[in-house]
Amino acid sequence: MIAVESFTKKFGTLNALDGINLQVTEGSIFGLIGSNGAGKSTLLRAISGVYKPDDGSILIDGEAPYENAKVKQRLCFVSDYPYYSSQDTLESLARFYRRFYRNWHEEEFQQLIELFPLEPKQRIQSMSKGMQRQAALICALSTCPDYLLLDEVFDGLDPVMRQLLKRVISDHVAARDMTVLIASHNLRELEDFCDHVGLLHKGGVLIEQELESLRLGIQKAQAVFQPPLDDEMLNTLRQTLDIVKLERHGSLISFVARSTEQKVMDSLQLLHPVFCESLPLSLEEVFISEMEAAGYDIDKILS
Amino acid sequence: MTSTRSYPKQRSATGTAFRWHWRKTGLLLLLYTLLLLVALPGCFFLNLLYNMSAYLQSNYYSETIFAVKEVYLAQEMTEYLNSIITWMVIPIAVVFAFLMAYSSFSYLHSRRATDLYAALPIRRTPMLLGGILSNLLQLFLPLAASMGLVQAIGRGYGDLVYPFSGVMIWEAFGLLVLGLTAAYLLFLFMIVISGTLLDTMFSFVVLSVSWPLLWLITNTICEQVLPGYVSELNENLCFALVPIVGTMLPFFAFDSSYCFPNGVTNTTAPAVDTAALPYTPSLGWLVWWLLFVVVLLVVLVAVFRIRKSECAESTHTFFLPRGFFRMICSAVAGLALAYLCSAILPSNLVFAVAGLLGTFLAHLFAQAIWGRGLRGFARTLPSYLLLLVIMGTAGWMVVNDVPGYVTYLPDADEVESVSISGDALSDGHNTLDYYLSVWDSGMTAVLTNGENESYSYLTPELQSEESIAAVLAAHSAVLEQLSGPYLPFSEEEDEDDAYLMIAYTLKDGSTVERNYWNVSVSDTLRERTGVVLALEDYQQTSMLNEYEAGDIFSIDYCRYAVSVDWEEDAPASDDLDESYSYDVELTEEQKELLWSTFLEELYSEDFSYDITEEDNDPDEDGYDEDCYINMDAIQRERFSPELLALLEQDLGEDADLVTAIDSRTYWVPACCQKTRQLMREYATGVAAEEETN
Repeated sequence: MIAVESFTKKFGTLNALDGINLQVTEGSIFGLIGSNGAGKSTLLRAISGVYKPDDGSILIDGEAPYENAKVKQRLCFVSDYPYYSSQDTLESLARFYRRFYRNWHEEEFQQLIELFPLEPKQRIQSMSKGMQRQAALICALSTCPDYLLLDEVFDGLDPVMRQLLKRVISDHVAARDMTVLIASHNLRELEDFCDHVGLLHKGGVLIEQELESLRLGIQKAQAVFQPPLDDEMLNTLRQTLDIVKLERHGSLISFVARSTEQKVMDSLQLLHPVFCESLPLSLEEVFISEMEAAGYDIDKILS
Repeated sequence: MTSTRSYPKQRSATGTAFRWHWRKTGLLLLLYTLLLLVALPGCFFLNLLYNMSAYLQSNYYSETIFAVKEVYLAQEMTEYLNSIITWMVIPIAVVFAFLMAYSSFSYLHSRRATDLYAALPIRRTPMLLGGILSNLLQLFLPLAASMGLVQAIGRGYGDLVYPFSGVMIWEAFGLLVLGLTAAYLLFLFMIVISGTLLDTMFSFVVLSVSWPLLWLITNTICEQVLPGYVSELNENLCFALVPIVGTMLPFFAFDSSYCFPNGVTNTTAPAVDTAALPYTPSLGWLVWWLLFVVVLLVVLVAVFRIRKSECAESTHTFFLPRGFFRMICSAVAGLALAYLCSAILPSNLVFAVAGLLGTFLAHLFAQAIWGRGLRGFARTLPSYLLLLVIMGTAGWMVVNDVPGYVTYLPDADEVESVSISGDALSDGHNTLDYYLSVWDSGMTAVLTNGENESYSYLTPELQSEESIAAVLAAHSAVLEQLSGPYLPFSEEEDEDDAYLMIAYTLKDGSTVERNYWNVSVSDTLRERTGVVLALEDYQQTSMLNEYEAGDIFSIDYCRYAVSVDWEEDAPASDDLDESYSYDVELTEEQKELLWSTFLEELYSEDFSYDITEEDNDPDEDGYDEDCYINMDAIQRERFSPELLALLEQDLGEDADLVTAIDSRTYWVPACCQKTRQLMREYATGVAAEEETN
């Protein structure tokens, strides 16, 4: 398990992360989302042992990763812009990883290079951005890490490769109980992939929750009333449901409420609507709602 | 999925890092090896062939020790070998040391690379040590191989080429290992404490240039400020933090004569003595650079471990070393500007203001480069103020002579010997004592190694208690004239002041030397220097004690007409037609008579060395004359035991190479009437002969 407690990281006078707390359980795929500059990459670097905490602690199965080769053997970090020297090929990169990672799995590497359309002898710097990321991912997965840390890994990948990558990672999670911590500013990308999510904003964690419970715990509904609902009836609705956001356009009302689908529908039925329905919320909508409820200007956060 | 652990679990982390670094700099290794092979064995072999061919085509050396071909080749090749080591191997090795260091650790200056390397499952210390070990081995293995090839070539071309160059090769290799390790570690240190290559290079250049300049300028200013201050610019100190120069000093100071064992210069069948080492670095030099390497390695490991990964591409790195470098270059700029400006406008105020301005500008400039602008300038002001406090305190201490340098006078009990010279010593003493001691004391010894000649001036070392006390008394008379504060510019300077040098050798082996450029010769000082001049052991080193009549080579006699109109207070024109000058060679009888007459008059009570009155007085016919006795050099076979002892004392090992004491000319003062009369007769005889012819 990755346990982040009161973690603080400063760059000069700037507090990049300020006393954040986070927990990532084993075998989960944790999506770390947030706007640019929210501190996602900084957190990943700290968890991978690149940065030393200025305050607080980061523990992986009870041990700090910074300057801890034993812990680092069990994790692998793929940064947002993987580094390659000018002469690196996939083969030489594999030699490099093989030299440092004891868990290097040659068979896995061979399978992955067959799966991904990369030429092992081609210089990586001459490859496209997406292919460069694939090269880094192939090597990272071949080290068979217990913890895989991915920073904006889907950037530059085409939809086919994205799905392929998600499948491969999911296979590893399923087979080895691998834990994945993936940072992205693209909510839609993580929607069908993560089981946990955390939202970072301005150096702090705004939300950290299991995705399913997050989704199930918040509903969007719309209903048509004839005659339209008056203020008294709307207040009745507000009292029965924890409404995050409500809009009224004539006889149509639409709202987002923290509740189960059944309870939302039951509450609406009591008011005798002409028509009512519950709609699935995308992850992005869930976050927007939560953020707005928390008083944040979502346009600025997710811009 | 089960992981397949295809590599052994227990693998040395340092070994892993070593192999990775080795592979990373493999291309540099190849290039470096090729260059070394061309520079060392390649050039050495070609030059050996050339010298062998040149030797065979010439009989120039048939009358010298180089009649033995191997001696000639050994001489030529050791010199050539040192040249290629100094001017080719060292620059190549230094450049590749830097390239390898940067190639291995450049990831510290790249955020993307840091993300990869800092996340690797290896601790920083083995990563660093593995890299250092790999880089240094890559530097030294090709060097050792090249040196070995040179030795093999030397062995294959005559027995004598090998012993000289063989010893030299491995001693040079040892020195190179030490020097290159120091240079490599310092450059690596700069890489580690910097965020970019620009910072690295700037820090390295600033330290390498500022540190020697700091000592040079400080020394120059101390010479200007402190009375008696003798330049104590020690090159080892000057380059103590500049290993690319400091560690190479033995190579610059190489003298091929050290490659020749004793006796080689005097025989055509030289014995082989490989115990003699061609490079002779001092123990202090050796200890300093060993310490430098060890301490730097420890500091490097410590700094590498605490270095923040976010320093990559950043100006936020280590404050202390950068602050130290900035303070050094600010101090240098301040002192240099103060010195230059006050040379143009001599004033203590100009000196102080220019110094302040120089430090500030240098501080500003350095911060602008390191900080990529002046945004953080205000935060550096405390360090600038600290520099001003340090410089102010140091300046105050110098001006007020807090260390007691100016007023220091050793106890007579501590002094082993002392030497004294300078025109302040002779001021007002027109006596035989002066003639015997000052004018004639000190000998110019001719040194030779069989090929080149050099000269060394020997000054008398006074060792008796009486002499030491007399010099100390004269020295204290000088000190009585001095009082602080000692500012760069004094309003009391007098152009008529005299020069005095006093050097003590203390019983603990140390030396104390003072040079006074502006001594005012007071009555007290004149009285005490008179005592020094009359000292028996001061006069015994006079060459007059060594010369014999047979050493007279020739005499110069010059008679010229001088018509002076004293009433008009201006000299009339010389009558050149009546003037003559002759260089006359004497017979043995004439030499005997002239020398005995000269010595008799020198030691008579009437002797007076006075150039200002009698010598400018023409005789009643309106003529004046000048007389000189030219003495030949004294060959080594003639040296007295006392002279040999003096030579050994002054020249040390070089005394073995002394072949002669230089020739000199004695001026015959006007008071030596009989000597002048003889010389006049000898010269007139020559003139008469020439007229007859």
